[in-house]
Amino acid sequence: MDRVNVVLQCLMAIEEEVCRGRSLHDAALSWLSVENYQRRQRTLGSNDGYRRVFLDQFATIVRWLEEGRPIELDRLVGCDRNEGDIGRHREQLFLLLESANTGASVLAEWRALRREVEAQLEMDIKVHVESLPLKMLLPLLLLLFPAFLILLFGPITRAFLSAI
Amino acid sequence: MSTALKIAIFVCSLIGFVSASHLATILVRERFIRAVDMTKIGTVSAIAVGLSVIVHPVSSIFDVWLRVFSPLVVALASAFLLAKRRQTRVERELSKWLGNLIMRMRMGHSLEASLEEELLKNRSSTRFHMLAIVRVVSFSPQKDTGASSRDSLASLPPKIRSIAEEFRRIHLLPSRQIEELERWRCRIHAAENFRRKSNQAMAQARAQAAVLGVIYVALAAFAVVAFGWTSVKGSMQVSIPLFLIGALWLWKGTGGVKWTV
Repeated sequence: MDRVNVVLQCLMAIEEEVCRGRSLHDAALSWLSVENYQRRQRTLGSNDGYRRVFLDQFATIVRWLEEGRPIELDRLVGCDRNEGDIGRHREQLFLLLESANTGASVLAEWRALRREVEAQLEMDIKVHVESLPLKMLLPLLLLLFPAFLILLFGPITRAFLSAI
Repeated sequence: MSTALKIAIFVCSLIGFVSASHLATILVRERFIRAVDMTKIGTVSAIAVGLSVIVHPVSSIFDVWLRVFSPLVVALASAFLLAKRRQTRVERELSKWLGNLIMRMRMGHSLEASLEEELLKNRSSTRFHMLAIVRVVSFSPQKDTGASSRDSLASLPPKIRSIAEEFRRIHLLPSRQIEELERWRCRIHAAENFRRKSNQAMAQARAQAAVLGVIYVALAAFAVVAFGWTSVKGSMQVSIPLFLIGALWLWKGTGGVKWTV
């Protein structure tokens, strides 16, 4: 699941464990330990910052729940790259973790959240694909096209100038 | 030999050493090769280099670098690529295996028997990993103390180990094994589906960079043949760095999706 978004990966893995009969809190702890182990093993990738921020937030929430403290979403904002907001999906995820800790059944809400996250991620991919042609134009025009021109016309210009 | 060339050769040697060491670490960490085997490879390599120096005396420092590092880096890189390819293939075929296992189990076979039948039918390069997985399931604690199973698991690469562990977990369930296999298959399908969509974004930019690379190499060859090396040399010194930076920008810069979740 290397390229799967970490939030979706978390939702899917925990849902799977809950379906097997584990409590949400146990499933969250187990997923976190596996992810942290893999994070130590893995070399840094392009999306590593995003993954690290989510894992840190998730670990903080799990720790607060273990200590019996209420979760303070405002305090998580500091370590997020999107300053000022942790995002409604993450907020919902952490609130569901808190509800599950009090003994409430949250599987249906968890599934609904997973579907919503999937839809949002597909939207993100769509937006990215739509913006690609413009993004690809910059290296093409600024670097690759001049590189081709210099390679082809450099010797011709040189030969022309020496002929004059 | 000029000082600049000596420094360049020294830097190349360092790169060669670092590459060989990095590849060796990955191969041992991923358990493609055992640490003991790596020592043997190093010893054989040193003997081969020693023999080559006796037969053909060294003429330059560059010659030393070529003899010491090139074969080692090439051998390790080939082993690494081969092992990675096999492992990726196992992951790709897992969904198909699960489908076949589910069908066999619906016909009344046990998971272990179904796995063994699937192994007998498998003639591809994934057979080696599949055999390891079947061994882990066959030696599960249902049958013995679990020591053999743990030993088999510990010797596997991490990704194959996680697959084997999942099979073992399902094998130990007293009931609902088929449902668990189906759920696993659904999970793989969901992940694959998402990965495909995510890769689609990158594939376009990377394909473009690859095609441009091929065209550039062809154009460079044409320029050298048509105008001669001396007239092309100056243009290439400017053109190659420009092209490399542009291709890297295209390859890396346009790849990552910005997630808003």
